[in-house]
Amino acid sequence: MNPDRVPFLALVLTLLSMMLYGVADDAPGTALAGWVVAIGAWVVTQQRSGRGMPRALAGTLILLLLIATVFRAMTAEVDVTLFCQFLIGVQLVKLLDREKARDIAQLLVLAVFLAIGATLLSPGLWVGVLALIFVPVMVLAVLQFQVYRSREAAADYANEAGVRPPPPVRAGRFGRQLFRVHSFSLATGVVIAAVVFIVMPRGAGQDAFGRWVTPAAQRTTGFNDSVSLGGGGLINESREVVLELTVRDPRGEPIGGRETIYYLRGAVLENYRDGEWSTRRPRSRTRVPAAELGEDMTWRFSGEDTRNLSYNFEITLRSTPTNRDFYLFTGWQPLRITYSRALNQVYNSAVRTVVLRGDGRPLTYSVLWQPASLFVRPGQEDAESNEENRERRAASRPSPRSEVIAEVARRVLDESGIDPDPDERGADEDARAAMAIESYLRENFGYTLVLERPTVGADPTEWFLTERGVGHCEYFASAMALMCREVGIHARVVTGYVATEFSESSRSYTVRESNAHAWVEALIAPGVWRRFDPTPPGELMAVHSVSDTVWRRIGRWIDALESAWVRSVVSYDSSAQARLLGARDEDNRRAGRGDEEPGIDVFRVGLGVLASIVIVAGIAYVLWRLLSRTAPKPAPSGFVPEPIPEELSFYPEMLKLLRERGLAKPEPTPPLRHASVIAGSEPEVSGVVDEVSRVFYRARYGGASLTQGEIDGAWRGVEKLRSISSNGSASSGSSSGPLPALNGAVSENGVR
Amino acid sequence: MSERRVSEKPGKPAAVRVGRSYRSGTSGALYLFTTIFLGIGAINAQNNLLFFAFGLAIAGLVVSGVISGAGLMGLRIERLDPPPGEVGSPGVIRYRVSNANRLVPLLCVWVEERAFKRAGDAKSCAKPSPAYIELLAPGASTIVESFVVPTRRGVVELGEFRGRSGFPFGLVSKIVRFRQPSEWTVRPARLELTRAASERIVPRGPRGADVSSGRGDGQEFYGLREYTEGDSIREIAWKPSARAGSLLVMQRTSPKAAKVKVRFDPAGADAEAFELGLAMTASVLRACQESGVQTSLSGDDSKRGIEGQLDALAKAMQEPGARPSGPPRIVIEPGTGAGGRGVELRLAEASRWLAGGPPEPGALERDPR
Repeated sequence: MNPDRVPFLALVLTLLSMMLYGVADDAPGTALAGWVVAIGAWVVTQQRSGRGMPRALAGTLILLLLIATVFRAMTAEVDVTLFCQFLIGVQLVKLLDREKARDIAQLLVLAVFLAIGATLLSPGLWVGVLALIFVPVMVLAVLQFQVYRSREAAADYANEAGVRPPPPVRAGRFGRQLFRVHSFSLATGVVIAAVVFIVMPRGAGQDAFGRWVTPAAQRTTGFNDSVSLGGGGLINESREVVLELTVRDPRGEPIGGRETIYYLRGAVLENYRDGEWSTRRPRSRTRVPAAELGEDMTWRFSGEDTRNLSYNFEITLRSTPTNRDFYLFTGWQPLRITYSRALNQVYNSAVRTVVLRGDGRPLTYSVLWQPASLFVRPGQEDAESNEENRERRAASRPSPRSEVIAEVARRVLDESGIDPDPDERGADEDARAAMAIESYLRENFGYTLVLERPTVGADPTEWFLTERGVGHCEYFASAMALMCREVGIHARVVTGYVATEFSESSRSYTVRESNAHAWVEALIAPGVWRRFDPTPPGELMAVHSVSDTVWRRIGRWIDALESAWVRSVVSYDSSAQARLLGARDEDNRRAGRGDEEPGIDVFRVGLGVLASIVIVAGIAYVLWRLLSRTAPKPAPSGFVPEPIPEELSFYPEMLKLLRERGLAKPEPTPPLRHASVIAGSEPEVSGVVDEVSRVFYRARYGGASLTQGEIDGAWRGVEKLRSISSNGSASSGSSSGPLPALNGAVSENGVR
Repeated sequence: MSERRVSEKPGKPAAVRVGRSYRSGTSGALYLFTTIFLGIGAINAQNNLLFFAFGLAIAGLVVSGVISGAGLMGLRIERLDPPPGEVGSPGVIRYRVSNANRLVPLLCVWVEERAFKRAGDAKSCAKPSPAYIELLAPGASTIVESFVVPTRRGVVELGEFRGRSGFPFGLVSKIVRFRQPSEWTVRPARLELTRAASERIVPRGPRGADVSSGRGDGQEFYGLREYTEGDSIREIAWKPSARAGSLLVMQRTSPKAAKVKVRFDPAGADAEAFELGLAMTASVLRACQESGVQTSLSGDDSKRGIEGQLDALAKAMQEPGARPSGPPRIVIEPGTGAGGRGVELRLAEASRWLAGGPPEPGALERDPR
């Protein structure tokens, strides 16, 4: 830690903030260009010894940037992106105009504001990771900047007074103290920030000051509520994660596995015309504004059968489209949906779909559902009259009808021994008929992701059934739905996702855009809609299976990390807050009935916060004490001796030999006095110490440059001391003239 | 306001801590604005990362208060007796600064006087250069220096001084005030005399200011005597010994400094001329001291040598209504051991005696900038 490196830290922070923006706004080009220019500006100004561009030029450039930004703001929408781009421009100018501490301070402030802007743009994992790197560097830079600025001020004061500025503290000694302050600041800061993060009320005041982020900045799912057959190209294989799914059995235990697939139902398409499936205008639509959802945030469909087992889907959507409607993904059949926060909703009770108005943020919700095959209202099937049955079948007939498809359907049923005429066929045989069609398609048609255009003028589904023979899931679904309708079975196409990617560690599924799928729901009995998937199951699994390469595994780990981030940080809202802060289940249930507000266990919260503070303070204290123990004791008067240069290393060597001989020099005693003290008992040693110390003094405090002869002489003295120590006494020859060369050298320079 | 005695020595006023205060600058205001912006942004966007950033911003305020508050609680400062200053030259005021904390280091601490006031007068010094302590480890102490250029001669009353620090984040300056009354003598300005003036005022013997007055270890020949055992062979005068037929050794003179008596006769000079006369007198005294000539100052009976004489000049007051007895002048009278006649330096001829000429009008007694 060296405060002189603060300008470099400012560059690092600038680059980090640009990277943050690039990731948050999905603008890697802007970030990369910023990096190149920033590093170039740094190199140029470094080569000019820190001299920046003329102030007037820098001011003019910033003014031009401001004018351009204001112009863009007047012609387009004012948003955070514009603000961030302006900041990047100013950063680049300031990097070229970097002379004094004030300029470095401006760079630090700009980097912090750009990081805030990036955080506003996206709360994603990588933004969070970069922010976690950015914060410690920022704290370190700010701490060191205080010293850097103070040094500059001290130098200015000294220049004004005409005196020498105070010498800077040695970097190593400084670093230890600064490291302790930095660690303490960071640990305390994180604890306080975590507490604020947890207890700050959520949900109130959203968009009170308008929307700061453009809708385009938000990621949306690749899901569509219509199917358009007949286009060319390739199926989207994007691995962008759409949602996380946890499936719970009736006991509440998470279930699933790599071999178990779950269908997430989105849109229901009932209208077919010229190869396009679309939703039917809902007849039984219920609008529920967010404010009217109820305290328990739950919507209940009618028809729940308490005798049947019900399962639960817990779903976290990574993001919702901003200010646009989107389909909620559910199981079949959905009974009850509970949200983490309220949004405006539209329920279609006829097809049991839900459309929400997105707000650009993640959404967590749970869906209670019952498997359709069990969902038969008791007695209804028997009670249905033939008249009603005929009406139901009449309503299922496609319009316009396709003789080609009808012919194929009839043939399939004939081959299966089922009467294709709905009037002649028993109502209980509809399920068999649908299954026969499903099996026919699965066994006789191939799957491909390559899309081809059908023959001009031909219906895409007919073309698939009669000519092409291969297609993707939408062709299969379309073909089955239309074939069912031709033989009097009401059927519809459903689009959504299949969950196939199961993680054993999190016991949850990750669903990606490439998991988009289409299948069929057929009315096999009055009120009983059952799911059929005519896509060949082997092909389906092959397409949606998860390969086990190293990269895929790393990708899954990253996905799991991102999932945890989204669940714990991004999706943290008022309900999660209530759970974390101890809103008791009974309180929530009461709140769900509208009896009272959900309660927060103040005692539990207080205890948790207190425990966190005590733990962190304890860790910080232990760390502090450890660092204190390892840090050298400071000089008593603040005087820090300069390190002894290499050429004078004979002196510490001499002190070391004295210590080894039991003649250690006390710290405050000057060496010449020490020599005189030991002269009585160790005259030879005293003579050597005297001679070597005088040479050392001449160079160290006299400012003299020693000749090689003097240095060699001093080392000979040290060697003599070593030989005295090893032999017990010096030879008689050397005792009369202990250091001839040394004496000569010293006398020559007139010291003695 | 609580007072806390931080040091005490017999016969010397102790530094007393008289209070703490806080001062926020532009950076603090900007930080506060940013914190509020973050809070609003977090609520408006319901962005959880912004909630965390808002928490970090609040933490910055808390950590800043804890570190600087704990640091300054252990700050002990004592002003050491300041050595006399001179008008127009940087004077030094030293402080002993200690960190009584067991854990918290002190970083980037500034020590500065609150005011430099001459007794019953206005400010008497230019903006001081505060003392700076970059790092003071827990339990350590150090001596630091503050520099200040006095603009007026006299005795400056030093009262309160303060230690301040913006560390760790520079958001708020935390200030601890101490009171330790003491005085600082500011002597007249140091003016450079011309060579001609120096030669006139310093009485010269054969080897400059030294004047032989008896036997001793000097360089000049004094006489001859019989050789006795123990005399150095080097001191034997061989030729006279040959002539005398017995060994004779040389005796040398004992060097003894000359003495002069300096008197400043303001003789009705106006205030500016009075200051100039004092400054020239002080310069004469200093020049004599540098040449080894002992001085005495008319009107000073402190027996403290030149230090006392310069202090007397620092405190000199012009007698109101004194009748002029001639032009204002400085009289240097030879004392013991000095030969020759007395010398008179008239202020009207200041340009002749001062290298670079007399100072600008008002330069010796001006308001600080």
